[in-house]
Amino acid sequence: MSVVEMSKLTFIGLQEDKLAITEELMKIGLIEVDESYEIPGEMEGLLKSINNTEEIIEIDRNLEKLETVLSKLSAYDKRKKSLFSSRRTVTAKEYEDIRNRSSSLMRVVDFILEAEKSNSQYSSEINRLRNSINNLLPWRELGIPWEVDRTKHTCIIKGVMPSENDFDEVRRILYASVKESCIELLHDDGEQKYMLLIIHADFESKALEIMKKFNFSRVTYKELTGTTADNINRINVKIKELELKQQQEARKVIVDHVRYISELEMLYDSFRIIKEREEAIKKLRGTSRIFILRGWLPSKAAEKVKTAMTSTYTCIFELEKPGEDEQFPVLLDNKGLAESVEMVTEMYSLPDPREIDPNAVMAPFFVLFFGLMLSDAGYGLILALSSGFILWKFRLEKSQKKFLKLMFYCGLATVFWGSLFGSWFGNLVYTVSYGKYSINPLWFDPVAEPEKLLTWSLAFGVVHIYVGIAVKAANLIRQKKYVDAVFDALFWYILFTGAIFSVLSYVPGINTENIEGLGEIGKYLLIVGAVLLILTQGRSKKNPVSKFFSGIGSLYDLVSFMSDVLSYSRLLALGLATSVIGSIINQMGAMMGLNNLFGIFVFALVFVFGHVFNFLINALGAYVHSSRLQYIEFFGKFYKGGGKAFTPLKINTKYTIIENDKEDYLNE
Amino acid sequence: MNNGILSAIITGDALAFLGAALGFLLAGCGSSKGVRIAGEAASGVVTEDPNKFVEVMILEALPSTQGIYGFVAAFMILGKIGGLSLEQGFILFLAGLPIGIVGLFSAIYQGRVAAASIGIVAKHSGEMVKGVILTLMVEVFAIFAILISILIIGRV
Repeated sequence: MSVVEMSKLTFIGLQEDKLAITEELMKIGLIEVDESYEIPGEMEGLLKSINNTEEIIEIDRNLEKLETVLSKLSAYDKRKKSLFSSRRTVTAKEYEDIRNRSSSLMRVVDFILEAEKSNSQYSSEINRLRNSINNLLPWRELGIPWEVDRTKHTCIIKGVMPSENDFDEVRRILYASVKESCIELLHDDGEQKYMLLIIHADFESKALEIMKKFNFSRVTYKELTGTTADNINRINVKIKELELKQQQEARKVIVDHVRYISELEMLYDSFRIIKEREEAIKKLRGTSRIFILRGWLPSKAAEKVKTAMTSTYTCIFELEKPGEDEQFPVLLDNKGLAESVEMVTEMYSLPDPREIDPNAVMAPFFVLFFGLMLSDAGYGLILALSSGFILWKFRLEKSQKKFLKLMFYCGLATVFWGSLFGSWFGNLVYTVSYGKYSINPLWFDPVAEPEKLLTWSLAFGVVHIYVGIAVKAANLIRQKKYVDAVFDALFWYILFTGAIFSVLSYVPGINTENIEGLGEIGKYLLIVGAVLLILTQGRSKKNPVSKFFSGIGSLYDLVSFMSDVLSYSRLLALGLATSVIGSIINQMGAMMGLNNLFGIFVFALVFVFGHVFNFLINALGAYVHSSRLQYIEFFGKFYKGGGKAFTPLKINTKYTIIENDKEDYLNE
Repeated sequence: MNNGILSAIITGDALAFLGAALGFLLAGCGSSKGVRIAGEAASGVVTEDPNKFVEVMILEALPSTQGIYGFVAAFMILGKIGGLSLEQGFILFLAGLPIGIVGLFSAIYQGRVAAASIGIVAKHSGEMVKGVILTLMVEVFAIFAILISILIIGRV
């Protein structure tokens, strides 16, 4: 139910056992290797770090190759995939087998990469040819073979000019000065005009002189023979040939090797494990005979790990408690509801190792606020049933499991609030029965009495914030700062409570008769609280004047408290939006009437699409706004955060799960 | 101006219709602009990396809620129509304004934040939720606006 206590580990083993020990530790998966060493003075110079950069680079190269090949092969992969992709389980023996065959498998990889290389060469050649067709297309009207550029008396010029020139104008000017010429517009692509010019050989230079004024430039393709159409046909034939070759030579290799995909996936994972191992080894120090590993492991598993290690290897396994102010990596250990909201907290920040893990306190608020904002029992039912079904039917990764569990609890909370408010898919029963029946709310209908729910929303907010202040007090008491707990929690309670009592009579929907006298009490509490805070909040300052002013300044927190409380009105607004939109969808669906087949069909269509949309947008809103209420209004009161996650040395694979015969030392 | 025509046009119901129309009109315009701003950024990201479609689509959809709130307010006002007094009609007209005007501006601004958050997704896949949280900070004001609109409608 909290941050797991960690012990500092110093492990000394023999160099010859190094590989076996690091692999063993990876299987146990409970030790984070620390790199920051304080080497005692007399040992300095004796302990050296281990240089295995070369090996790591080599592994990285192999991983990269495998990644490329796997992404190519996966396009042709025909294995059945589960909807929620989970990793396959392989036995340790299968895995060992792959490891032994790694060099022959890498040869397969290289072969596929070679094929892939020629595949892309074919592709680029085909692309080049396609481009040359595109260049020729504007000339397809040209019936004269490209190699013919003059006859006995004429010269034949192909060329382009910018499109802004008016062709008729150019032709008029040209014909006016060189009568013995013929100009023809072949194509205009908006940028350039493609033209054919035939001029009497004697006037060639004169005509070109004139054309130059219009930025005319000659186009020649020396390598082309025959007409444009001939050339395009020829290139098309060549493209067909190349495509066929590509299919037969390069693609075929890839398709033929798809059968290797599961082995290559295992190989990829085995390289990942080796990489992890080598990176851990890089953090070790050692002499020629022994090595030292320093790190962290959860205290409650420490003894078991120690027995397991010392019984198999010649080694020293020493444990220490972390120092008073020493930061240790944070591992959370929660059960049930608290565990499922861990990801919400992690999104914000992990707790500081020395503070209370907020998950258990936060979880019920998160789930209840989510439910209040989604607030439709029908939606809640669907959410709970579908996430429950997936949890039951599919094999999932740990993080997916956590999220679905959270959704399951949120769904239940939504059913709870939805039935209190009488909203089941909006007002479905009421609409379908033409107003004859309706599901009555167990508490009250927020659409009819929004003020009542507003008051309650703010009240939930006050409770939430008060709990936040209580956690702050608990943190201070844990650190044995009892006086601070009184000053920074109790005094604020007095002030805030006073403020709430004073404004209570202005809250809509509150019967002023019932709270007579509270306003008076509120005033006194407000004054007492303010005086106490002015006296104590500046205690860190030395100068009495600045003590006083920072005491006064702290009263500004009353304003932020008020705005924090008002922020909870979103509980009402989002909740109301869901049920009102739901009812609108039902009404719109029923517009065609429900006494004919067509009307029922329209209703079903509108019902399904409308409610799916409403559900999605409001569930997203509920999740995010519930998170926000935790992050800003709740965590803001006490949470320090900034913990560094516990990242133990462990087997970290992408495609497979290797059967682990190690028992779980942490939980049992 | 003929007083007879004027008083025939300005009835309680007509004012309420005006409120409903304005509520949706302004908020709807805002949402469409907000979604447009986010959508342009989103399609840019999808051009580079089609795998990010779902993430950017969620971000793009966020500024559409103002339009929905406007729709809700309009619908609730329409539900009240039928022989309203001039005063009631005027109150319902006023009820359309908060979600209409706040919705208009907040949707556009939210669209900008959404577009910037799509930038987060473009660079760091998997940081979508952070972008969603930043974007929904703007949403709060539209939520308050629909809240006020609903509270006003509740008074008639």
